[in-house]
Amino acid sequence: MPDWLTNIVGSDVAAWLDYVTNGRHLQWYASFGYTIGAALLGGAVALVLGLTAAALRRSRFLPVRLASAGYANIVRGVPDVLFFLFFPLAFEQALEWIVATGACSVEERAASSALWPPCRDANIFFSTTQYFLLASVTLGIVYGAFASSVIHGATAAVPRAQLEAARAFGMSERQVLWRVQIRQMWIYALPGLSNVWMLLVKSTSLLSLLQINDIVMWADRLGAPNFQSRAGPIHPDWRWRYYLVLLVFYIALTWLSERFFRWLRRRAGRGMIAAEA
Amino acid sequence: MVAPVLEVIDLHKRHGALEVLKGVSFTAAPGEVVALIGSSGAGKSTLLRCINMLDVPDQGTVIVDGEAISMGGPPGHRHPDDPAQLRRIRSEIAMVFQSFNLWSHMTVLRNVMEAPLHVQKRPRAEVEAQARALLDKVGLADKADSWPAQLSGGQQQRAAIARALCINPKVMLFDEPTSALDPELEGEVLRVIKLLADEGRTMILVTHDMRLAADVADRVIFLHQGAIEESGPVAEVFANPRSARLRQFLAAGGRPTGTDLASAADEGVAQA
Amino acid sequence: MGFLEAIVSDIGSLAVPALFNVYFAVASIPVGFVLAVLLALARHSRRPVLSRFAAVYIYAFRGSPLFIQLFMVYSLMLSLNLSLWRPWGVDGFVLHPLFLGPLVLTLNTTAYTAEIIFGALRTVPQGELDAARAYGMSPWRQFRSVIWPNTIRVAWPAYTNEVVFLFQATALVYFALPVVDQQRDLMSKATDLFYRDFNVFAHYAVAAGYFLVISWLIFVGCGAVNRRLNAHVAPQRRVALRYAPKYLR
Ligand SMILES: Nc1ncnc2c1ncn2[C@@H]1O[C@H](COP(=O)(O)OP(=O)(O)OP(=O)(O)O)[C@@H](O)[C@H]1O
Ligand SMILES: [Mg+2]
Repeated sequence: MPDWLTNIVGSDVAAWLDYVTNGRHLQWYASFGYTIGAALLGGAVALVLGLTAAALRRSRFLPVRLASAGYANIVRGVPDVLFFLFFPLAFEQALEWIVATGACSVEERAASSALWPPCRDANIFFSTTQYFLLASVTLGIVYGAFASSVIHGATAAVPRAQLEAARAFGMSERQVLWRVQIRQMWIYALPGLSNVWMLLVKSTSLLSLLQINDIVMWADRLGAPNFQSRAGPIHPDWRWRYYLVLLVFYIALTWLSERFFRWLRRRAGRGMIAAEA
Repeated sequence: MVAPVLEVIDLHKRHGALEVLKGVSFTAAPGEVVALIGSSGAGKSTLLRCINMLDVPDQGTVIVDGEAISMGGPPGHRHPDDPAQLRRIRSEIAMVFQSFNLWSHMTVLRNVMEAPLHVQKRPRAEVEAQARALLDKVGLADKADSWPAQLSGGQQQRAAIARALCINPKVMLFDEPTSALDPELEGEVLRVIKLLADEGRTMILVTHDMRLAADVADRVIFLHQGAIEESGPVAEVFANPRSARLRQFLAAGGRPTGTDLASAADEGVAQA
Repeated sequence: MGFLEAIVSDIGSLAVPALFNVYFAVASIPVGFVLAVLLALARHSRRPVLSRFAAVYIYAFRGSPLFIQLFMVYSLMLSLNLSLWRPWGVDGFVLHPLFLGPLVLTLNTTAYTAEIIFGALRTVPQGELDAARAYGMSPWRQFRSVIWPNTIRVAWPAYTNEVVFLFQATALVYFALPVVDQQRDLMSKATDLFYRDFNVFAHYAVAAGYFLVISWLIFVGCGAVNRRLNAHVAPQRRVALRYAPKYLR
């Protein structure tokens, strides 16, 4: 902390500033970016998956339709945290299993005392970045199921008369779908998608369960009673204060998202929905 | 002269900048049927709603059977200041709405019994007997256990009239009871209203139907832009309207003419 | 051990943990519902102070993750331990997950439910209210006779989804609160089993199955109530119950 600043703000405030800008705090602040990044990436994956699943739900082939509906309903019927734990672990084990078919000899398998992985060479360690990607994809898979239901419903909500009018002007089924139905679908889907986005944002708080050093993990560490002056002033259990910061962060994020979606809806709905007060 | 059942003194009511009632006074004697006519927007519904304080008048007094509804608060924020009294008086005034307003989650019979049971706190057996008798009277004996949504508009309005009768009201307020109905359903409701008039009930009847007014009313009040323009015995007023506006109104068939036409008439008067 | 045997054995070992999830839901839903009705009425009230307070509460709890709320309340309670709970001798109770879990879930579901009920309160037909007032009903009587039956009918489908979601949200409790005396819910137990034999597919699949089945049971139960609530409504105006947990979240 430069002296001139200490002179201006006084030593008490300076000590505070020092504390909240120490190395561990800076890492904490950086992890907010992580969370937002995971949300954005997860949202993108969810949108793509949602659109795909909704499209498949209109497929001519019954098994495809069933698979798509099953995806949407099963994922939604199970807590998101279950998928958060299950999917990355399952993915890892699947990879390890594939690796093991090549890497492990029969003797090695027999010699391995652990239940998993089959042998030492097949053990996979993900890097932080890989974990981050995996977490984002998991978010995307879970909320893609929600998005697919929203999009499926919105597509059906487009008035039939609009489609018939398009057919009456000689559009092909393809053109009707892309030029009229999907264009209008967005307006019906936006409120639901906005809901899904809010859920997704809130579930980024679960990232710490995937061994990612996210804002929750850091809040826990920084707030825990500490007795090492290296980490800043010695303080008792301050965790609830740190969690309070997280609560405010999420509320602010929700508020911003709401404003964004309201803006988007007004733009998308030009001419179709009256301006909201 | 008999004491009036309902006495309205100098009611004023504004909605924002619009002065809807500009000092309306009238009385209704026991057994009298008063028809309230006037073009759309004249303030007829507002007047009716001010009588039982669904809308609170800015100024003026309402007296029901000799008892004034107690009002308090500073000017501009006046309100009934005795809730218990207001509830009691309200339960002596029955209102029949243009859009029926039956409670949609109760059967017809329960609609009729609700206020007598829970506001007037009368014994259930007595109320149920009366309710069934009244439903029979309006021709709905077989619909007692139906839901309002299963009835036609005319049936719903007759059920609403039974509901109004079951509180043994001193005064009945009707706000255009037939104008939400198809012409072929009007008749059944009109018959019930005539029946009630013949029974000698005190009624204030807002209507656009001049034939109904001529048929059942003893007295007519013509409301124009929030003030009583003309009033008198029904035969006299209809046969011999004194004001130009009422003549204009009657010539237009008493149909809702809209404020535009009414103000056009104003100009005509001014030029004459 | 084969996969099928693993499944069968998991169905047995996860049965008691499932009861913990049911307990968390049952302990918080009724209280939350009552509080939510009061909060929704406050939100609907004409008094600015009440209405603002309710709006802020609802926004704060709906706008932040339950997971953080659990951590927040737990750490707050911990920090009060030395000054309050310990001296009063209630620390074992107040800090117990079986108390804290329902506490936070109640705070949370109150906000979501209040929002649902508030939305429904605004759909009560003005004409029916006018009629109630015109016939001299007291405010309480208006609520009992007209406002509430209309409100609950409109709110029920969304509330059903809230109940299902709250049940699923009980999965989070033991990720934020400590496990006491080996009392574990479905998720905690499944994770525990996973670290014994790394069989991710069996344990989590059975846990998911429990969640699906119980969610479905809740849904069926609420559907029966919904049919009763809609008995009087013309078929085309009935409020349909769609399985869409978390939609209104
Ligand atoms: N709540 C309100 N807010 C603002 N203006 C109102 C309100 N209620 C009524 N008005 C206005 O008061 C005037 C009188 O309304 P009212 O409903 O009493 O007329 P009416 O004579 O019953 O007409 P109609 O024959 O169409 O029923 C109208 O101009 C109306 O727009
Ligand atoms: Mg009117």
